[in-house]
Amino acid sequence: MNNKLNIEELKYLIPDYITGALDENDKLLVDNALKESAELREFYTETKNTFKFVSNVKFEEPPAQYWNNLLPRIHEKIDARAAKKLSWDNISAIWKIIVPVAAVILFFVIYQLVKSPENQISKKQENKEQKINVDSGSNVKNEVKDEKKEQVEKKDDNVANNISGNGNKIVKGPGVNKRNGVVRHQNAPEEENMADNNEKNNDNLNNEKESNVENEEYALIETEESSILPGHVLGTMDDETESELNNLNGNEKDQLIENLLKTDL
Amino acid sequence: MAPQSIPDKNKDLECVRAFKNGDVRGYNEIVRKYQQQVYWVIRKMVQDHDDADDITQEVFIKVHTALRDFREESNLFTWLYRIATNYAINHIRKVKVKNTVSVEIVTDPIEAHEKDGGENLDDERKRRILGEAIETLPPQQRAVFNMRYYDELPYDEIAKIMEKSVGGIKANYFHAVKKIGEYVKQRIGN
Repeated sequence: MNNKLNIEELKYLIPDYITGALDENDKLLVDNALKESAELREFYTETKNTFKFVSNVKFEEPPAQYWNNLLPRIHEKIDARAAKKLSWDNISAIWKIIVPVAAVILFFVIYQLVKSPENQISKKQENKEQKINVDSGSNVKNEVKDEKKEQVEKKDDNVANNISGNGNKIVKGPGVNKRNGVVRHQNAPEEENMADNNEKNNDNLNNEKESNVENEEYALIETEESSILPGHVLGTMDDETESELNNLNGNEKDQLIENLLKTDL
Repeated sequence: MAPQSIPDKNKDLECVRAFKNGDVRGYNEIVRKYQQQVYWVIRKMVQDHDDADDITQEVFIKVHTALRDFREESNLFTWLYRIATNYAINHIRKVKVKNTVSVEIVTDPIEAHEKDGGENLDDERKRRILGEAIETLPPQQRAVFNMRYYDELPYDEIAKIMEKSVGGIKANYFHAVKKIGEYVKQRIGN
């Protein structure tokens, strides 16, 4: 086993043994081993033939001027690459400036597009329109309310006039609300009907106030106009009032006028 | 091919210092001094003259770039060899990726008149067979074989160039010789 290992190790020395590159000690070792080992001798023979073949191979020499031209050609390449690198460095240096500037400009342009005066104006206009819409909505509401209020007051006045025209007292007090048009008369069943109608109408008004603002305000007016003092009631009242007024004597008329003056109507 | 002796280190350092001081003559001197050695190291590895020429130029361009960073305690000759060997190995690997060695080349039948121990083979055929044999070697074994057989560099110097252990280099050399012998034997029937 040791002998086998030694032969394998000695095989590593054979190439240098053949080329004469071994030192004296290793050369003696191989000499002795070659005398004893046929396997090592066979390997030695094969390796020697290999080296013989390799040594016989002559590499084709390059042209004679090749060695003279090599250095200038190397310098040409170095110069060409230096120029190329220089130009590339210049380009890259320019790009180092251009790219950030372009980026800033692009950012500025985008910013301007996003925040342009037109957009700002349009946005402002939108805001204004929204505000106007909101304001107009409230104005419309207010106007509608005012109109409604005026109409209710007028109707209340008419009712009061009609009532007073029948010779009855106009009851004013905490229970009387011009806005709501609650008017009560002591002895007149018609007045009670009217008051009931007014109450109902006021309930309707209150209910309608709670509903949608914009459209319902107008509907509310119409409802009030038609429901608070219906035309046939007013017409009836006018005829009766006229006939009653015509039937009044002088004192009663004077008293009625005084009462009317006291009522601030 | 005459064996390459390790050049005078001091003279190399003078050239390096001159180049570092801006004197291009230092670089030119280094190129003239080592161009043949570098070329043949490469040529024996890549076989083809044009490839060897291109790689040699690339090696010296690399030297021109890197020489300013060269540490003076190092051996310029070893440094140059390392660059040349690495460039050649990289080239071989690239070529191998492009053109994998065909099995048919290895098993190509040899004409009867070639099987005479190679005595009657012309130089071109010998070169071709040796080239094929070397191409069967891994790049590192090729480099070691060339440095040890042709340039007769000592193992420790090859170990420095290849940045491997001496034992590893000895093993590389042994296996390279063995593989070449087996291939040549197969081809010419030694």
